[in-house]
Amino acid sequence: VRAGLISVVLFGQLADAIPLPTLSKRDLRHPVAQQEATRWTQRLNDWGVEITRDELIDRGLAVGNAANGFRKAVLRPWYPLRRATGTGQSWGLFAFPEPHAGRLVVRGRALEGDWETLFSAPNGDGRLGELLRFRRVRGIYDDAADRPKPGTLWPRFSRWVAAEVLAERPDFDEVEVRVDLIHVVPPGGGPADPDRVYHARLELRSELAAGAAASP
Amino acid sequence: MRALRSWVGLWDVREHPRSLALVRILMAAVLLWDFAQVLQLDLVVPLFGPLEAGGLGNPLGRKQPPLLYELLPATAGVAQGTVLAVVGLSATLMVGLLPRLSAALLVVLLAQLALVLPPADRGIDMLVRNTLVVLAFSRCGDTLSLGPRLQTGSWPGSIPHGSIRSTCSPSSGRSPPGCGSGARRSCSWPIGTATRPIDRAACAPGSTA
Repeated sequence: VRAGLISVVLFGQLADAIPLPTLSKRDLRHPVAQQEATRWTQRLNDWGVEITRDELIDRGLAVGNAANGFRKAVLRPWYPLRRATGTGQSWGLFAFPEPHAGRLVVRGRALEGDWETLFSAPNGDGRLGELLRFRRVRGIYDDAADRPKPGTLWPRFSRWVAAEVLAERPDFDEVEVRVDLIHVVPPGGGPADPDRVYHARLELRSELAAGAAASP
Repeated sequence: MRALRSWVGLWDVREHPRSLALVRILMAAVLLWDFAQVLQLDLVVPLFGPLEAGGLGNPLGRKQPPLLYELLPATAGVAQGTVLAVVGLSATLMVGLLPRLSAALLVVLLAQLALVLPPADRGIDMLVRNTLVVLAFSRCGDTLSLGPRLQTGSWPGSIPHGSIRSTCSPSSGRSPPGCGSGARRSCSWPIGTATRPIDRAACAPGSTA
């Protein structure tokens, strides 16, 4: 019985932890995935394997679907326990090398005044800097800001940051919260793309005061 | 049968109680530090409160809301109370007062807080909960712990079951001192002396305990 229980637990943890290629079409739309698909097609062709890029993607998706289905089937009975305890093995640390990293930038100004940069990750002073560098808060914008569509959390986050800034700086009337996409190039990787502004939001004191901050 | 015994033997290894106690103390210290920062930065409601109370997450808008806000009203007060409970349990875990119960309750509360705003729950937080589950099922409170100190009046507290075998038993194979007579015995441990009830299994004929 003991041997059986140990085996069941180990198998469950292994199924959860093993890096199965659980790919979806959305994942493969990412520029990094596109680059990797091209690179692997070229590599396989060099090794004498005749395959096109589209065929490789189709096979990747088929394997991904099967792997995903297998993992879900194995873990389904444990779902209530995993949810109640928040435990599992699906923790990713540095799992994804993102060449277009997002940098959170917060600026503020009085109406028609000059912009003052208050935070440009990871640099920022005072309470705002402490808040935005805190690991749990960083998780919010790291998770949402780099995505093509950051979802409903980004406007909420932006309004919350703006409210924090405006509470500390009564001289400001506007706050801009945005992400600068920075192209990280490995040594010998050619010139970097220029920085791009992503998801810029302008928050006005008048609107926040009118209660917009409380809306989802 | 031999293969099964080997398989069990491969995985069923008792960790040294001091290692477990150190993990318990350090893990609780990390949690205390983390939540002290949450409190100091006034982040309880933004991170763990419901949207309606000023939170950044929308736990009630989800198909399966966290149990915390299903059982209790979704208010800022509940978020604050839960965080204070986490701080209190981290403190009891660190000093070793009901450490297993503290670890088990911490797992449940931390999991509920994680469900309020999932992006604020990082990979390391899941690892912390995994470790707390292990601590809840371990003898992590048997040494470097206040609970046994209060019970026995001596540091470092009870010696765990597995360690008695190596510290109290004579190598000649005789029964351990105290077998069949007193209900308790003293054992020496590298960092002190402790008393615990005699393990009857250790007195069985042929036992080397």
